[in-house]
Amino acid sequence: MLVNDILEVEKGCLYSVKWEGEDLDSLDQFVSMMDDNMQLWDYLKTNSSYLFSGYYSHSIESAIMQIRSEYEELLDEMYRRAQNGPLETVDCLERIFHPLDNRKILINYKLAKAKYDGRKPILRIYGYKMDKNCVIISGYGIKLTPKMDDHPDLVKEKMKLNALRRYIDKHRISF
Amino acid sequence: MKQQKFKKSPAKGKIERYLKDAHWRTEASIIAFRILSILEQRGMTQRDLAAKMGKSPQWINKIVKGQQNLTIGTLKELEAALDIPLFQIPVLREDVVSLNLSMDFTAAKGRVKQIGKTKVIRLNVNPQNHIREDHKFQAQV
Repeated sequence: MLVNDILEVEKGCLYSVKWEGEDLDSLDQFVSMMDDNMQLWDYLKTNSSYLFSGYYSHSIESAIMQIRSEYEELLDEMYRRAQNGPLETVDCLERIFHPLDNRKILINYKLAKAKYDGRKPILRIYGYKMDKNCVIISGYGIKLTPKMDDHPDLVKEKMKLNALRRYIDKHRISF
Repeated sequence: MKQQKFKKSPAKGKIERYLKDAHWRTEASIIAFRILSILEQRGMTQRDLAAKMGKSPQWINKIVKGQQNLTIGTLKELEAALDIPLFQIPVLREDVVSLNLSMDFTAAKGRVKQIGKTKVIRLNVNPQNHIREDHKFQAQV
């Protein structure tokens, strides 16, 4: 898993990794998938065994409705905060990106809002937090299992995060 | 550290376009998924639906991708072709209520009509009685 390039989404605040062998950068892939119902539909059908495994009590249709609702809110929150500029420390990306496993350099996103009626958030965006309002997006996930290690796509996202961390250290990336 | 220059991601433009259209995208997606679900249940393809409606497969494909801001006319055509409701507008409804009135009234019946956010109550009151302005009453709906 090699970093091919890092692309700018919002200067100083939001960046996105383009992985070797992939046509689109991570955030572009995320937006493109969410923008195309067919891709989302196919993904959930392919992963229906995970969807019906008991971690979530979802039909495909209700899962899609939740995903779409989370996507809209997530996109709005992330983009709005990114536009506040790199010096913003209050209404910043750090508020929505939390540590993946309490280690400083790894983060994931959990949408935890009351309007979801206590349902577990299903959508994730993964990235490396450079500063309070600066994140490099490494990937995304539809979390259908309790742990990342329980699904191959999420295992891959973990590998991407580690690869990104090594790349940033090696190339001394700064914004 | 040397400041690096970065190429621009196409994601920015896509995000801005989506957020601009967000007010209809969610509903369009839900309708699209409903169509996909029905097609799968019936063993129909998008091409079958297109042929039934006299439209191009590309047009149907855009709809099932959730990328079309559907008109009411298009929704009605889809509903007719699939024989299912896709979008419903809440209708005005009238409820029969019983009002327990104090003072000179023991009970009165009326009808409640919802007009927008307002409930309007029309009472059927015995013409021998009348409601004074200082009368108070409770309504159970």
